[in-house]
Amino acid sequence: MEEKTNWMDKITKLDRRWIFIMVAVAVIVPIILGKTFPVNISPSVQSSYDYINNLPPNSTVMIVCDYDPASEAELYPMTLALFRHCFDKGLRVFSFTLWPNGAALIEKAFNTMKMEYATNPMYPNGLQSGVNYVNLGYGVGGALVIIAAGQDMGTAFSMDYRGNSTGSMPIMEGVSTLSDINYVIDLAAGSTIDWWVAYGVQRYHFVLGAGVTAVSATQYYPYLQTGQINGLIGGLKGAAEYEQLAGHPDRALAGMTAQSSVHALIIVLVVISNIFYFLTRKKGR
Amino acid sequence: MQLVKKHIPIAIAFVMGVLMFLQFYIPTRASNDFLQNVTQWDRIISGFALLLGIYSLLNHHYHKLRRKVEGWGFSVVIYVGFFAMLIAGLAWGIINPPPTPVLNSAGAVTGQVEVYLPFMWMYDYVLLPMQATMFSILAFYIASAAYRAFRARNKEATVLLITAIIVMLGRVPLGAFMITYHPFGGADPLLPWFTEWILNNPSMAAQRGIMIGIGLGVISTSLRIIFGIERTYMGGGD
Repeated sequence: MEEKTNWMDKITKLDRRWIFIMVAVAVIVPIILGKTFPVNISPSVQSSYDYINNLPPNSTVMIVCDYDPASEAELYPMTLALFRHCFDKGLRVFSFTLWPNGAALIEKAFNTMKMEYATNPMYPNGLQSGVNYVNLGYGVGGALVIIAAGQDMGTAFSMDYRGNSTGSMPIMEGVSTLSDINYVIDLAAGSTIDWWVAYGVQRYHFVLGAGVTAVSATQYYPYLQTGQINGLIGGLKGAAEYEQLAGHPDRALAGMTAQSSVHALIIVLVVISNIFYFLTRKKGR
Repeated sequence: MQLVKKHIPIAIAFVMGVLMFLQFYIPTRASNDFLQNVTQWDRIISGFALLLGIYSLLNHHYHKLRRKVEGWGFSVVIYVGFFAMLIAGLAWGIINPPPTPVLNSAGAVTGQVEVYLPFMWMYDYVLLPMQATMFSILAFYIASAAYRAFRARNKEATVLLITAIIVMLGRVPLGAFMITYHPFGGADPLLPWFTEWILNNPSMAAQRGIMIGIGLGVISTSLRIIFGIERTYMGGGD
């Protein structure tokens, strides 16, 4: 009997390294197999997609990348999916970041797009910085940058990431403040969406969408219900939904199988630990 | 000394607090110009705050190194990392030239030629993988912590446990494959539908309560600062 209790005790106090190995296998195997499955589209992602999809060509979209390499796994695929959708629709894309380490990621994403659209008939000269898109780099001052851009884009961003003057760029035509941007979407790893709602939408009345990491998605549902944001792309799942809607399956959809297997593993582990917890408790009585 | 350290900062906080408050409700040209000026000044001050932060970080680690406190080796890493990035950025610049596409004979893009500057090389091959690794380690710890601590010890913990399982399944394709029943004849299968319901109702209600609480807290703290009751921002805990 004691031997049985010891065995159950060992299971409940399983060495964490075994769990780490199981998680590693659950992540690596689906990635190696490379199988993807379709995802269910949530209304909040559909809403962002529809809004961009219905914008006429040459409209302006501001994709704010408020994240750094730590959240790259979730938010970078989202950035690429949004960029692709905008360029497919012939929209002008503005981007900047309130995070110091985010500017280089934006540049990397635009460079990826430049390669993808190098031979696209929609862009005979390829995607051009200052014409089809502009990386406005890192905006110093947090929420103040939002207010400054709301007052005057030229003052807030006098130069782009590469140090070119934005004043003479064709992309800036008809854009003097944030209110002139047709759609702003903040991809955030922190709390910048609160700033965008309080200092941006409430003051300058533009349409805002949001993309966030999965852990913080629940925080922003109240803004969605009140209409302060019109769409919410949550985590890798949200990015996968967007990729599916835009018809460009990529990293996010590929990652969903690994995420499914890790979720399933965690659930199995939790169920097992609870079963043994109750069994040992019963024995203890 | 009291005048410089106490009375003048309190007076500045009061005047600026009241002016910014009034500015929000009086959208005239003059108030907009005022806002633009204030934001520009604030952004300049933010730049100096960044310098102050760098000084503070280096100073903190300098003292750790000088006293050889436990873990002083990490301070060496801070110094090496900081100066390596700084020197690389100042000497060779911080932005790679745009990559050039490599086309095959059919005109399709087969790759790209990218020239790396030392700063961007360190960003792409040191900083980026390190930060991504730190974040991804979370998955391992969450799995381990869930196994050890996520127990149905009482009614509340059981509700939390069941909700977590539903949301975890509903947020991945697996959930849709497990139960294919579509409630109310809708487009979503049961688990994704129920997940959305949880997020849109009980979870949102709780979040809204938290947000209202934070909002009230922010208002009261702002008023306390404007009227000089809250003075901890001046340092010294007074």
